[in-house]
Amino acid sequence: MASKGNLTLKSCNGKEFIVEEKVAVMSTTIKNMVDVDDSFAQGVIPIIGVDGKILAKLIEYCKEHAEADEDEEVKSEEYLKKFDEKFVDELNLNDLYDLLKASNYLEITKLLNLLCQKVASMIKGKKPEEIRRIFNIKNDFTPEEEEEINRQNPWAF
Amino acid sequence: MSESEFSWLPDDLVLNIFYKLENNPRSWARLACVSTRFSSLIRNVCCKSKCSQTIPSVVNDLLSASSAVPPGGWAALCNLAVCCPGLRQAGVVLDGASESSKHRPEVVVEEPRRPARELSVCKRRKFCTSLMPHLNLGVWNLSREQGNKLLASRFKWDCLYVCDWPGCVHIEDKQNYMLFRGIFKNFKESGVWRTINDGQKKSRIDLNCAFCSCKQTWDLLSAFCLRRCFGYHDDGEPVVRAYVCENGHVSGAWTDWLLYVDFH
Repeated sequence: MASKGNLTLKSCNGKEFIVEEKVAVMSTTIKNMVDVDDSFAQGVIPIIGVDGKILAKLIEYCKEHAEADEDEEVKSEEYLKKFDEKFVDELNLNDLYDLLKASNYLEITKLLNLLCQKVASMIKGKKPEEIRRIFNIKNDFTPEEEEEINRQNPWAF
Repeated sequence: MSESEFSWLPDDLVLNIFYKLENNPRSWARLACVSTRFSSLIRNVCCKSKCSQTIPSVVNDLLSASSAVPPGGWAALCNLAVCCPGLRQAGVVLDGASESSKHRPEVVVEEPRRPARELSVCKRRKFCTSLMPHLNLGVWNLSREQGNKLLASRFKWDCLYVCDWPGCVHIEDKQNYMLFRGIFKNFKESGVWRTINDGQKKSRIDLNCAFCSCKQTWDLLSAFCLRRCFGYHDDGEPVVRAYVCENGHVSGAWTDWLLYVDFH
């Protein structure tokens, strides 16, 4: 296995991305695949359930962070922080969900934390009704259940 | 966007998001009111881990081999840990229950006149009134010692955990109320439970538990379960009152006349 080689990642809709191994192994899942089976390092790694658009986003993120890990001079902590902020700010809700699922499946811990933090910040300070609206969540309580749960959390409102 | 996008996220992801909000108990409580799935995750998973984290020894002691869930559920215990029961649930503002209510004007929580570090004082908040249960943040702890001080000596074998004195201080015009909350261990096997059940008709009242879904509670004062020595103030207001629900959750209040208390 070439330690500094390139890997080919293939999205579920057939798009292929050639990335440096150090970028790809930001994902613990890919790292494990490559570590366990040499053939992945040579051939194409299928990324199940992640489409080309989302995979490109993931690679963009991993590339910045892998480079920063390698050389702090070029990409400082400050730079990364700004990059992270911009990265999550530009996401629409659907991309956010897709990225969440993908980074969870691929075990890109840093990104996963960043995205969870983003969703958490959207929830923070909001009332249940607002949370439902933002995330398009259906209120599936029966009226009795809702009354009971509201009664048990009067200080929440 | 399809309606159920969020519901496609696996539980571990949703929990990961919820845990980012754990420093503010209000966020969790609000999330629990969003949908049945959120409710179940918050109440069964998040609240459990929060309790085990913040009151580990109480949790250990409350759970027995036969039950892995505290009576009334994890959410109730979590609420009990962070929530002042409020004047109503502590029995201070019972409808027409107390003759002393006539000299009690509109009940409001004021800022403390003397900022006392050791007191956790309820501030006036936009979304809660002092009558209702509200967040009581700060350093708090539940201990058996506090519970022992409360109960009549014949119940010395009962185990009641009560929050540290003075609990949540509500400063009124003439009186101070120190609101406390607590929980019995193995309530159904306790002496207090046997006693209030013997005299059920007398001491059971229609006062909701502040922490769980129980609709009725028992008045521990009129059931003679509290220490007699506490007695009453000159105007007939009890020095201490406490109410317990079927799950063993206790809400109550100490009353002090400002006259006697060095609060200035």
